[in-house]
Amino acid sequence: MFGLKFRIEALYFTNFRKSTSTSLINTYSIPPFTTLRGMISNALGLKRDDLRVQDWIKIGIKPQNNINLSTEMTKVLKLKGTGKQYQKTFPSAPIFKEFLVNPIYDVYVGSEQEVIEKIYNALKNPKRPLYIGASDELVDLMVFEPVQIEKKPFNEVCGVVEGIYEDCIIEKIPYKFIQAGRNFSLEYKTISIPKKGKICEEMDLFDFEGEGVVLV
Amino acid sequence: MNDLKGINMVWLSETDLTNLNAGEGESNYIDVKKYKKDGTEYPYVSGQAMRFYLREAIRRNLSEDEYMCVPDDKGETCGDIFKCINCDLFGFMTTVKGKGAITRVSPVKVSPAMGIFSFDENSNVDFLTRRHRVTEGSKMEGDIVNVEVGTNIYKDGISIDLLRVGSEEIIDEDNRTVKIEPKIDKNIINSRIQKVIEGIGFLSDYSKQARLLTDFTPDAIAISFQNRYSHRLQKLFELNEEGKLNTERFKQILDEVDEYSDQIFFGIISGLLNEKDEKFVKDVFKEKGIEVKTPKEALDDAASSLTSKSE
Repeated sequence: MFGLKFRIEALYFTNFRKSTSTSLINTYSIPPFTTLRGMISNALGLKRDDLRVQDWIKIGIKPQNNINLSTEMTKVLKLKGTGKQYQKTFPSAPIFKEFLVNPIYDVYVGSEQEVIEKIYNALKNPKRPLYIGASDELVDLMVFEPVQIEKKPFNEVCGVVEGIYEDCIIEKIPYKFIQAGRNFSLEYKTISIPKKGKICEEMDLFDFEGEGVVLV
Repeated sequence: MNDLKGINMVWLSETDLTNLNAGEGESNYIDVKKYKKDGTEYPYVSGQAMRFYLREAIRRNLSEDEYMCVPDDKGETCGDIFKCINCDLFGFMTTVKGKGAITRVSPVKVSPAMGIFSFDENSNVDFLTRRHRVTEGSKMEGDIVNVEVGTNIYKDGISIDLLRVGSEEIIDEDNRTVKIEPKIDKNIINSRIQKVIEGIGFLSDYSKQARLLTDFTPDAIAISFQNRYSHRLQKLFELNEEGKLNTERFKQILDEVDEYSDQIFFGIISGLLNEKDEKFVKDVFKEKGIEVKTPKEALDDAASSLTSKSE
């Protein structure tokens, strides 16, 4: 199996909107797996709602700085109705919105060599300008060389782990879209983000040149 | 010009005492929008506000035959990229009967303006009087309102996707490639991009300007014409709480961006940085053979260079 690490830095502010939030726009503290695959799809030049990337790769996430959360009042277009009928108007309303300030994450991707090389080339020279969250939220990427990875035992794990662990921020984040005809549903994963950077527990992890990473 | 993909601009703007973008506030208290980083509060101007300032700066600079729509009472724009500069440059989401919503991702990305110095150390609270609406002939009434004001240096940036201005993207499903289909004349596309660059030099329309006349145009600006999509230039300026520039980072970022940049323009006014940092910045550009000018000259040079590239 091959692995690729890249550091993604949101240069100003960003918001990973919780899709179930309505009168308040909340944010997840890390980019959901669906968001990261969307960014890779964007770099590859795939069209909107192309879901192929989610079957190609597994992802690991490690926050690199403190989670700085602020709130602002913003004017947002509100969707009306069920979507089954034609709607002409989308009224705007002031809404409280959470945002993250300049977050940095290390993202690890695992897959076959051919896929990893394709993603590596796309991230180095993307087909479109890259953003994460809203389309104005610019990012800067630092892409590392692909490496061969295999599972081996580690005494501690850095970054996000699937399941519930002590001394962690627990979030239920979108993992995968499931398409049924013209409708999409979401599969969620419950994950733990270590507050002190790592979880001290013995686990079999993917070895990214000495870093033990959980790929989900 | 064919190899060029994007333009990145990042700038610093020093303000006098001002309140450029009010937060949630309370009934008689107008605050400043603030973000918190590692426990300290800093002021900022939202991305929405910055997009508005830029749009209005472009609107003021239109010639008679140019058109820029105004959103209707539902907030919808015309969605016609052939004739409308607003819809072409800033994207839209509009509804079409029977088809649902059509979305155009904005080729111009505008960041919020982030204050660099902490707000508490650089702010004050001022009074203003707010007059009540009264019927004619009755006694004039008003109350005192508190307004937060502060000085700061703000960092801001924009990124322009040159390939998608005046064009639409076609996806080739079989070959998994993106094809860009120009929809309007090359000269018109260039003039629209020039309007964005020139607009930066004429930003205005901020809140509270009836009392707090503020210049919020760039005092130091770097502009790169790139043949690769990258926003690395946005990290060029890092100032500490004393206003000292991180010179090592400045050089590193510039060297990296230089690798995929056709041209880099830089302008700065005297006194924004301390003497030593200003000399350092000028020496770095001298080494690269780039002339350091004023921000206005740098913007003008970038705009006119676009014309010469298309010829």
